[in-house]
Amino acid sequence: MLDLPPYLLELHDYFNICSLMHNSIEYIYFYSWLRGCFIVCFVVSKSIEVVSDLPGLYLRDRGVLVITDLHIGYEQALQKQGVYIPRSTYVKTKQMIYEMIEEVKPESIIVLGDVKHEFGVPSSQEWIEVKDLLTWLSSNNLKIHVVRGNHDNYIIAMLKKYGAELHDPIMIEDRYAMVHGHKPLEEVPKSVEVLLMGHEHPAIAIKDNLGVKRKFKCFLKGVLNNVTVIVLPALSPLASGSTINETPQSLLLSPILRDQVEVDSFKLIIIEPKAGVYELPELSKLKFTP
Amino acid sequence: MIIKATRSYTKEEVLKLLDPVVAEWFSRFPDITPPQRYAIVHIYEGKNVLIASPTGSGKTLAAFISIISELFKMARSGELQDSVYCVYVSPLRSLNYDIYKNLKKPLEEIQELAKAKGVNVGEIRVAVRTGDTTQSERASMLRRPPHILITTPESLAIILCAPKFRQKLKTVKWVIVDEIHELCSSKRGVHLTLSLERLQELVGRPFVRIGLSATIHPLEIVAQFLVGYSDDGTPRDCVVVDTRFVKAIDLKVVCPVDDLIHAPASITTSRMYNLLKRLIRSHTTTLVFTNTRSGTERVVYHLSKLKVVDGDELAAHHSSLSREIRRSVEDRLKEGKMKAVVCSTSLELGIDIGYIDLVAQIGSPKSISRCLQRVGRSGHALDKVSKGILIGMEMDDLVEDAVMVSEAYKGRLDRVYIPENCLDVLAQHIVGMALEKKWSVKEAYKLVKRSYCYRNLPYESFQSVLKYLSGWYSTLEVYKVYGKIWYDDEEEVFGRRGPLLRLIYSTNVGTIPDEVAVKVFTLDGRWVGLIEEEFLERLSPGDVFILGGKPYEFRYSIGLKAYVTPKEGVKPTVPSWFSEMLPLSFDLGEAIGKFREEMFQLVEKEPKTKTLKYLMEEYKCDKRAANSIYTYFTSMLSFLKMLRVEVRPSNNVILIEDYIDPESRQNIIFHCVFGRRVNDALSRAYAYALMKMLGVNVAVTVGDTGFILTLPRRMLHNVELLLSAVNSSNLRETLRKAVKYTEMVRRRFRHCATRAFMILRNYKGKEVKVSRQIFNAQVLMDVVEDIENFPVLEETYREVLEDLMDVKTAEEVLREVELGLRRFYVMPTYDLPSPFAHGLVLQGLSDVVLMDDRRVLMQRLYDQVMERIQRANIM
Repeated sequence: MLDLPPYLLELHDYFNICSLMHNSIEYIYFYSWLRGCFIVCFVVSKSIEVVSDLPGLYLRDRGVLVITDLHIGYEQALQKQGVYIPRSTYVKTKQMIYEMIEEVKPESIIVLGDVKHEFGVPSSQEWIEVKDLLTWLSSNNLKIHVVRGNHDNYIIAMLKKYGAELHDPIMIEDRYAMVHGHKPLEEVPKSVEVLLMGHEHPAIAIKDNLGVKRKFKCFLKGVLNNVTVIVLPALSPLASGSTINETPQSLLLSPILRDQVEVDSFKLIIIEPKAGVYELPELSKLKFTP
Repeated sequence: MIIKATRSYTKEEVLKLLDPVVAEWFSRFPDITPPQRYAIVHIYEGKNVLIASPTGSGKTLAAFISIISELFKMARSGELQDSVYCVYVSPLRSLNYDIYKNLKKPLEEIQELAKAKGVNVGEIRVAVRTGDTTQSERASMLRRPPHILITTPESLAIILCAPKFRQKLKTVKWVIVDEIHELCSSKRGVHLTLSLERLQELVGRPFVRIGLSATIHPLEIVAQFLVGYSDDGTPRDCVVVDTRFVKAIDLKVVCPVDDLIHAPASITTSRMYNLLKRLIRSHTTTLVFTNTRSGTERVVYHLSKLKVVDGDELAAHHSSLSREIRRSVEDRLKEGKMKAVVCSTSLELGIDIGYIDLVAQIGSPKSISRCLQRVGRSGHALDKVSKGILIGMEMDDLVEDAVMVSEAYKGRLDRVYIPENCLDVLAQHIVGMALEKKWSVKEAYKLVKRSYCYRNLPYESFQSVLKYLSGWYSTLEVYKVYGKIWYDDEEEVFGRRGPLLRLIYSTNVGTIPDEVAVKVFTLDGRWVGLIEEEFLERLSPGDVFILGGKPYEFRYSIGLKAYVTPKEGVKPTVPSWFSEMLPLSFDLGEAIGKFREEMFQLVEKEPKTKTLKYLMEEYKCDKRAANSIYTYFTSMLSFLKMLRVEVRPSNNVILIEDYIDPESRQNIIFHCVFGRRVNDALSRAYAYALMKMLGVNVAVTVGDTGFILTLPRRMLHNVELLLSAVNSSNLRETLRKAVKYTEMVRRRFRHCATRAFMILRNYKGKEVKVSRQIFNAQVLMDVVEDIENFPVLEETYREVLEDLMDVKTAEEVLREVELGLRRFYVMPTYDLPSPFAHGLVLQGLSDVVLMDDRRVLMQRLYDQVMERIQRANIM
């Protein structure tokens, strides 16, 4: 058995309870020479994989790494509200992206919006860090695409300088459509099979016997008019997310999730760095009613 | 050196030392009180003095009289400047205004007396400076500074940094710290000790420190807290005036019914109210303590229903009431217009509340010192007896009350706990110091170590705070400019940075955390009440909780608003917040452990009548209380005999029950009367070990008399295995892991982060609220978790483990087990809990609000046990 921190034991309980899950999970084990241990690669849908246990997706058929909601510059924005935290999350963000790149060796990277945090003129922290990120990514010979999010104002110049491509409001790549998620979804081409989006920062709250509640970031997976919808969790370590199992649908952030789909039918895929990926049943089964 | 004052001076000896006019005024008092006999001369001689004496024993005047006299002498000779000479600090604003009035009057009288004698002296000014003081009052205070400044610890910390006013503090000769017993056990007190050291640095020479305290123990430690340490690492000199026991006490333990276990709850309660009714009617003014706010409301409600006294002669007093209401109750008390006042803990200390001839306590005050402090509120004059009646409503309360009273008569007190090395408080002061000037790190560290609370502070911890404040923990070098201070680790100097720092300091200083209130509404938008943010975090949709006495089902929340639906008649699934409940002191717990041992011997060997008599004489029990206690012990004894258990639970024998409940869960019950702070630490560590061993979640129930670990089914077949998993050397580490993801840690982290200026309450003159809505402490914690020795996180764990819990004593207990001084004894597995465990077993099952239910369940459980015992005897 994995040596899990105690709060994750609760997740294992879920494993036992939801026998259903074992059928629905497709595991591919492959030996990773790099790390010298087994990596569980979680396949969300045909040729779409969760990268290790991190908040990113790898589209194997396109060689694309997809991430969302970096919210670079969050610390400085918080400082304006009187919350001083050490400016250390950018390094974590970068580290996570690095691990994902090492893991899947993508040809290009797509950010589903909210690269930075400030709505207005970029702060000094945003300049420093966004610049650093873009330089670093292009030095790795990665083609960068950004789907514009609601926080991505004043970013066009920055992106151009480093050869990144901006897509507003949607990016279509083969059978994939990619949006940020802050606007209702318009008609998509017939060829689209999968919709990828961010914005919502999905997470789930799980409570143990002692009444201790933990929040875990998660992916959401469901359908909208025959299109598979996958909502990615935020990459920013500062965005813990909105707890999807405690929020009525009418109060969700994204109009797509709020008005265009039936969220209760969505499945949840929990990720917890260093602990693994867990698929839970539909949201309707996770809303606790006595 | 800390020495005890041994010489009692006569009135004449004291008067001789005072300014003649002041002496004449002082001689108007018929006699001088014990603290005055012992203290005044030492204060006159310029020695530091700690006075421990009950309320109403004249200790305030003992502190002030020689100061007033010296000020008069200076005024006469024209030496008195427009500057502050005496600083009086108390934790209560209401007390400040009281002291102000009580000083103003004598000063005026002395002035008049001087005038009548043709002596011309200038005015001696007194002023109060608190958070309430207006801008214009502060300005006029600067123009004409008071000679005696009355203030709070927070305001003192602010004026230390006020560029102009601090100049007026350079003449300070005396500092009085009032209510030191209340201050020293909290971070407010820790904060004050550093302010005093900073003040001393400003003044440039030692001033006389006078501490005023009610009943507290040990005085040597409290004296060190007051006077601090010299640079050579020894405590500064202090004279201790111990007149704690000058007031005679009359304590009684009563029980409303003969058999506390079997009497129906309704009868016990109604008898209790009738008893209160009789007591209130036969006394002039009665003060009733209930421990909790909800209890206070309930008692007042029932007493007024019983029409015990006229409506306006009865009132409630607790911290949730508005300040106006509390002031009005206090004023009416002072004027003698009240027959009875019911309070939670709020009238325990502070202001003079006039004539009270009886204190009644419902339940247990949980510590001997607190018991004496509360009872000391009655019999105001020194020659009057303090009369207290303790009413036990549950078995464990009753035992606690009896032991407490007997300990009080023996002059024993529980030890005070003083927090040490608080890094969040230190961070505030380092910011304050940086505002003053550029500091050498060594000098600043030396100053900090003069405080009792930081005398053992490791240099690395001090440095980590400097690094934190100067932005070193950011990952990029360029971000250092965002620090609050600059710190040069090569030159070893630090100083202020940024123009906003002074404002941040003065608007955020202090140690009392803001609780964030969440507004609760029904789905159709009707206002229901307020809950704490952390309580909200605990709730999941579908949970039922009690608010304002009614059950509600939680539906969802948006920001700081929660939406609920009323659920009449449904039992709560989440207990209400327990933070209100006072923990039993470890020392009293030990005494109870010894009492258990003694009682088992008596019950086994002596006739009933003799034991009852003994309980009534030695433990001041009434007949009913004695009877109930006797029955409690005989039933436990029968239970032990039935299971062929040879040992009896005591402070040295920790009995462990292995009880399988009707739902087939396994309950491991530890009988250790160590108080909740120690049991909290032990229980969580054992639960964590168990969780690791078996890979399941373990439920924990913690009480003052023991704790329970509950497993979903019978999984642990050898309890000894569990016992060996926790020891004195791995306790701290285990505990830290065990509490890591609890809401308690998150909540404390938020408090520490606020104190350490990581989350500001007030930014650029505006209250900060938004940040808390979007930000939850877990995220903040996750961010700093990876940073090694991040002081705010380290402080959070220290506070949880040492202040909230008592990991040090828990370690001590385990060490004693390892040395064989205490031992565990595991009882055979059984399907009923022992009578001593009933209180604990039911604690987890039901909310405090549902007292009645709990009593019924307790009774049922007890009857099952007794039936089983009887059957065993027949066989």
